[in-house]
Amino acid sequence: MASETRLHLLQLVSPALPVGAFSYSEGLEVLVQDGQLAGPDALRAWLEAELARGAITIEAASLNPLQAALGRWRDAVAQGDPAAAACSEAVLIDLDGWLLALREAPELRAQQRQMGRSLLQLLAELGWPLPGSDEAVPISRLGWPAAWAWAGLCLEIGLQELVEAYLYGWVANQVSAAVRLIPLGPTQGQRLQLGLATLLARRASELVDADPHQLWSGGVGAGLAQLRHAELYSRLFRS
Amino acid sequence: MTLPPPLPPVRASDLASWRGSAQLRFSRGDGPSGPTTHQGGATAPLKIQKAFARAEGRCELPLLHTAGGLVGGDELAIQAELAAGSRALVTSVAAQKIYGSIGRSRLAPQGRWARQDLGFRLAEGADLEWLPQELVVFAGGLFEQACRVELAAGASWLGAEVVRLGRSADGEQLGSGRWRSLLEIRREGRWAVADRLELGGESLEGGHGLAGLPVFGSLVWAAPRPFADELLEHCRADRAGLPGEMACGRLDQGLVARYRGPSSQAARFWFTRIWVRIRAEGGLAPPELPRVWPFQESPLLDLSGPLTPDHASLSG
Repeated sequence: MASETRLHLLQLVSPALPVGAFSYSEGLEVLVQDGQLAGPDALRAWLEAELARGAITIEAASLNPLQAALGRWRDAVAQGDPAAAACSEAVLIDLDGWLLALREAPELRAQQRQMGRSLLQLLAELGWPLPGSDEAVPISRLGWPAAWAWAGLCLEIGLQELVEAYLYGWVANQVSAAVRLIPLGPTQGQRLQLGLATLLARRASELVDADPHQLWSGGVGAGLAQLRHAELYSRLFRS
Repeated sequence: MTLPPPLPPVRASDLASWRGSAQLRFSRGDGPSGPTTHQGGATAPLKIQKAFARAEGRCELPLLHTAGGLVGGDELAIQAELAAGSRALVTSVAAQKIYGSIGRSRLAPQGRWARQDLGFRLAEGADLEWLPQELVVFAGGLFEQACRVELAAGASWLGAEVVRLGRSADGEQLGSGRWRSLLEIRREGRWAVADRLELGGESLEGGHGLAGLPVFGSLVWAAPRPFADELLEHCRADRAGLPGEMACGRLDQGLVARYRGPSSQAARFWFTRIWVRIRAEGGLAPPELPRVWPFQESPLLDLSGPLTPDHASLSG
């Protein structure tokens, strides 16, 4: 990977990326308040389960087809082929809508939409509006995975790295939420992230070419926790 | 504790599979509450039983699976089309059983999947309640269901399903069996709900999955129009007295409720109470429990007696 591309990738996974990821716990807040996530071991088991068979794997496997549809859409617009552009856009919208529909909790869908909107807005302001939008205001209906795929296309990051970074960023955000919630020492958080590197790399290489429509989610407990977040009396996080 | 291996239905040969199907078409008679009638047919081992006319012209239709359970390789397909404004409730006459398949056959020792394909197409303003009885997957059973729903504007689809993994009332676990459920609901071509759930292996244990509990339940209502938050609050209050973990939330237009716990009866009781709320939300008559359901006591909150954590009568 060229140095410049590598630096773009670092920028994308930086916590400084203004997409508000820090305000979401994706159900961890419920688990902590319930006493089901008492320390680093329980958190690690939870993250490993999600990486092995959670909804995050279906999203990660969707980055490839999302990026393919975005690329065809961009090329068709550049070549002045409105029929091909409309076709690619429809494929993209369908896949994006499916990914949102996979999230049963409204707070998770709101998270995906808000983070997607923020990233697309940022990319548009940096000179990469979605294809066909003249003004700097992008179409705001795409979720986080689709926005991430568009960022990868704009910054010319390879798919394997993009999938790795998607999973890495998700883990980093979960760990950061856990550091505040459990609470976990920052060193423990870093040790956890470090310890998951091998698994992240392996899952990224397995998922980059996987068909998301052939994957299954076993995270029924994650779904329950995410649904129950709306019932918490006091909340630090938005999911 | 080990159970004697259950005796699956007698088959002519090791790999003989049954493929049954039911095609249903519901249409509404004259007037705003004209009775909904059904046409169509079924092939063995599925059988359509006598329909009952319910309030507001709703057609209650019980489906009977005469084979007494599915073995690996069996496939059932149920398709229903509802014409504009028609109302139906489709249920099953008994709990469905999925027999163990892994290691049962010399020709397919890895096991074969039993499948059920459901397809529902609802025209404008149609209203379908899909409320089958519980599914029990025996140890080593492999079951995959695909349920695809297409909705026109103003159509209402309610589906509630409860699965028990292993005959847990007798101490049996799922073992190396697996249960899969795909649910795809679109309204006017746009995604409303997508599920790709799989329980088996590691996802049976741990809080991220089923946490070692035997029962999972899912209720999804694709609502014909938006509703107030009050409905969700009522559904949460309806959990009172029921064992297990229960949570519900709003879909973009609809409601989802999930159950994980020890008791299929608790899941069905909660879903039945939500069903009552959904009927009221639509300004419809309270539901009458289908005659083929086995409840010994009323599932409704204001009438129900104390619940025990498990009920052998429902566990197959």
